[in-house]
Amino acid sequence: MMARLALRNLSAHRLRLLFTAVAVVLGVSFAAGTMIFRDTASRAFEDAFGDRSQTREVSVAPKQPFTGEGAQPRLIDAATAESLKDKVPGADQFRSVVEGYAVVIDRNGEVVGGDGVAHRGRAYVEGGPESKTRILTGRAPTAENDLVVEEQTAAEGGIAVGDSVPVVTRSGQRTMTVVGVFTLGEERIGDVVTYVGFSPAVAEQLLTRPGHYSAVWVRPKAGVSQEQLAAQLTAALPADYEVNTAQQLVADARERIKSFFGLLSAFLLAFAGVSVLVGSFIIFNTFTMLVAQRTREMALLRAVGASRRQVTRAVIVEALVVGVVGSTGGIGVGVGIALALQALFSRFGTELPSGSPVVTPATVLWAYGIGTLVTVAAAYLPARRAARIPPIAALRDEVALPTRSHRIRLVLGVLVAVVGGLVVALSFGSKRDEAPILLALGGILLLFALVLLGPVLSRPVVRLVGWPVARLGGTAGQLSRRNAYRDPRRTAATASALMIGLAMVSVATVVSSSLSASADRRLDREFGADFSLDSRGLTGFGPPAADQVAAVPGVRAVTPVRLGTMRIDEQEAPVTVADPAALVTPVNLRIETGRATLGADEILVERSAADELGLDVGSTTPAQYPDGARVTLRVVGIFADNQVLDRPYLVGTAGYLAHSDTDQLQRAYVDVDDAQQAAATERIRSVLRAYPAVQLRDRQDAKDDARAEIEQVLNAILALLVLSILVAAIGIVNTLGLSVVERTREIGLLRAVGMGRGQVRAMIRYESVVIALFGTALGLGLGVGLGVAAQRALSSNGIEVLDLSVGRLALYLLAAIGIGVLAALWPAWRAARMNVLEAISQR
Amino acid sequence: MTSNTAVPDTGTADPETGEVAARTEEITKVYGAGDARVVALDAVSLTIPRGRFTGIMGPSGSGKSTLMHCLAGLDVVDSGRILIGDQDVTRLNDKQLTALRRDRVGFIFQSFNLIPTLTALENIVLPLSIAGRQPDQQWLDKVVDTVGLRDRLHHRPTQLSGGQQQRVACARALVSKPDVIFADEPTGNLDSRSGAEVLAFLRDSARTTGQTIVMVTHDPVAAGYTDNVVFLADGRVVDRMVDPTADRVLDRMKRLEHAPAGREELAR
Repeated sequence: MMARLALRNLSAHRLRLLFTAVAVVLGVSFAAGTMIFRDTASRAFEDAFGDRSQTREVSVAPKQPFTGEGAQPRLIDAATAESLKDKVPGADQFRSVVEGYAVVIDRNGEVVGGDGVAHRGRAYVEGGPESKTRILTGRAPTAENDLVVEEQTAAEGGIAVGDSVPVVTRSGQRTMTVVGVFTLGEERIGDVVTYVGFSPAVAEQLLTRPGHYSAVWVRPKAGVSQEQLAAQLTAALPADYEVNTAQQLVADARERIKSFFGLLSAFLLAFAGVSVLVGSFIIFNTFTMLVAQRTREMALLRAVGASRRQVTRAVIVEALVVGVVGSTGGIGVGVGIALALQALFSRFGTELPSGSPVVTPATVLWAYGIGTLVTVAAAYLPARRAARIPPIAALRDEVALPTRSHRIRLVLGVLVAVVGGLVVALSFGSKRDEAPILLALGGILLLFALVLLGPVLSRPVVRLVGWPVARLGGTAGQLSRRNAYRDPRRTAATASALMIGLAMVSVATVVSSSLSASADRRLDREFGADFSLDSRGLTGFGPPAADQVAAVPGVRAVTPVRLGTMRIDEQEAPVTVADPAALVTPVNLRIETGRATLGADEILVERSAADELGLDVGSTTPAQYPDGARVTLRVVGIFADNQVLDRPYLVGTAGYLAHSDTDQLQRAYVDVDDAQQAAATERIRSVLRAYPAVQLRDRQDAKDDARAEIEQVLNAILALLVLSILVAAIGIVNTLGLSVVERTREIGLLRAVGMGRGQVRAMIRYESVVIALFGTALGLGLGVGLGVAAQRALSSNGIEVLDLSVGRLALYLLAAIGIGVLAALWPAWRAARMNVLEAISQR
Repeated sequence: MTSNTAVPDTGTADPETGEVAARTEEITKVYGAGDARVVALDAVSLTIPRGRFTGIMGPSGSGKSTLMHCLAGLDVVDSGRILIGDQDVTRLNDKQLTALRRDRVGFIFQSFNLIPTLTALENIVLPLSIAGRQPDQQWLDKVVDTVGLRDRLHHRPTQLSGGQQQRVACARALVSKPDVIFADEPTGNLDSRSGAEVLAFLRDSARTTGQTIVMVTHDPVAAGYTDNVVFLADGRVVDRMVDPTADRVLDRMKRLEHAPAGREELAR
């Protein structure tokens, strides 16, 4: 019977419950979408890898001491490969793999694919049992300057057969002719790469060395298994070679992709969690209001003998239905979100296998679990309160739900706030990597405290933010402000949803704009050169480019810099290779202690790295050069942290080049005679026209790049928070819609005594804006506070300047007002449309 | 039985002669259709004299509330004309009706209908502040003193008794000096003493300030406070009475209830 009543209620209040269900849908869909995205991708990867593991070959490759891209790869020479056939009884044929770093520069002088992806070139080999590589248009490369480009890479760079394109490899830059476009088949899937192919001879010349391969594939003789061959190869080769069966390699790749998607989906799920949390506020609020509106009905049920349990159950059944309906919708919308995510990822270069969305039972279970549990949990308290309505209430005219005082809430809220504040305060003196964790923890506690304190804060805050509304809005404005603080709990719960989103948005904004400002300041301080020549891509450019720039009249000095990789104290570490004395002007290098000259096997260490590793002038550390040579480096000086160098170690050029196979420059600082600045700049530009891989940047460019990088991250975070703000907006719609129903008689009276429809609409709109402003005020307040705390805590670790980005914050405020206005559209329309007579006579 | 009942008001003559505050001409209002068709008002023509306290009496279902709602522009008629002063209410659109309610009409409801978030004073001046007008301080003081709420002005409705709340409602209706105040069973939710206070107050308002008041009631005692009473039955005006007393009204009502107009209609 109670279940039937619950269902009747649902159909009687379809519209309100629709909005609640929408909140559930939005909350669930993000989480479901992320899971569907992950499962779809991994299913397709499984299929693709299934094909690849068919091959029976065994791979032999030198172990790479340095994994960083651009690091000098160790190679296997042809003689060693050839000798395997004799030394290893199970080995049959071998096939060489020549692969290495190669970027293509597009017409605009940009690296095709950008910085975030890997750039590979290989000896173009077609066929083979496992390879799906084939030419789509044009032909395979044969001549010296022939280049083939993988189809996605070609599409991204706008490259077609017949084009002449600059290609940069470890051996320098070369302009080549595109003779074909090829596809890798499914092999490309999941790789964040651009690919080009050369003829085998050219590949060896450019990517490895003539007669040297990156790896070889060895085929087992008949009757020899992959594993047997692998064991024989391992025994025959020195320890610095890696032997892997095809299966192992596939398994490793699969593992890598799995963990990548694991991380990615965990990240996305965190944001989905915010939506769910925000949604739960909305659901809670809606059920509280629905129950309040049915007080009389529930009291009547109790009066005719329904038990408390039965009344509670009726509400819970309603919640259950809403939860199930909402979760179902959430899965549906989730499929769309998964597709959108997929599209987004392929836009940013990660080719994901397309395939029909995979909705696993686990996803369905999770979606229903989250959706219904959150809904039922959010409805439980209101249901309990409903059951506590005394039966006699049915007979009274004005019934109010029993309300508790704010005292417990106040005490608890203040307690949590104090703990949160303390945790945030702790972050101030903490280490670089601990501070963010403490800040996040303290932030969550403070957010929780604000949620608890919301009802207590709502009166004063609403009075404050509602003041201009009341001043500007006339009677409608005054009434709306009063309405907003008539039920502090409701207003607070509605605003909390928005608060959470805005707190996160504003903390992200303050931190990122402070990061940008700090980068600006450091660049101002440290970017002493007029220009820097930067290589596009990682390999660099040949010294002649720098020499030619140095020869330009008006150029006072060119300081060449190489960005190397070494193993220092067993850690792979980026090193700057340059003459420290020459760096004093262009990057404002400051030697704190020690000397600024570097001999062989000597090193300068950045202050923070030195502190971390306990190094000082005179101390020694074991190190390994790119060619594998192990040495002991002596620290001869400590330099102040430097944003422009951005690398903790500085080694001398001669010492490093002795152990490196390339003399490519990655950067050069150019100092120009101020009197001839304009003419010299023009001449440098014309010199560099011959070197498309070299980019000329001044300080402003460096700032812009730093800023753009930070903004990109910020924008991604904002995009992920949009959904929770959408949920919050739905919450305002819900609250106002229900308030309008609740205040039917009041609105009727206002209309009866002469309030126009427009004024009624304005009243609802103002109330909505006041609620939105309340949420925004708390959210912005907390977010900005945390942002400032983060800046202070990390002031010596990269965020030295505080930038509140007032413009952006003001924009959020305006956006919040916009959300308020939009959220009020429907409730206001409903209120204004009310029949005055019916409204007044409604009981 | 038939001879002394059913004296339809012709709408032209006022019992005591004088100005007309409002007038209906042959207004008809029908609810529903087919079997469910109910004629709430059946060609009702009557006049509301200016500066008087007029009662509209009738048993439940007689159409008295509908009549008042139509008069006040809260409900629309199917045919006929309603004039408040010289303005035809039936021809107004929603905006004009809103302005009419705001500027020319006052309401007192059975269930007070005060805005809970506003204080007594704010409730009283609500129609003025909606219109964006400043209250006439002298008049406001006079109204406040007449309803005797001087010391309760800054209380919220929930802090006031029923009688006090209804007096706030009366003050709210009076403060904008409307052409007509419509009171819908204003004493229906009050105990008899509070009711008597409110009724006496309404009567005095009409006598001392010349405020036109129309009150719908089914309570003969309430009707006894009015200057004249219109009796309604089955959507028709069946009688008028000048300077009624509770006893005379009660007497008349008894006869009305024993002989509903519908049957008289048949008898005629």
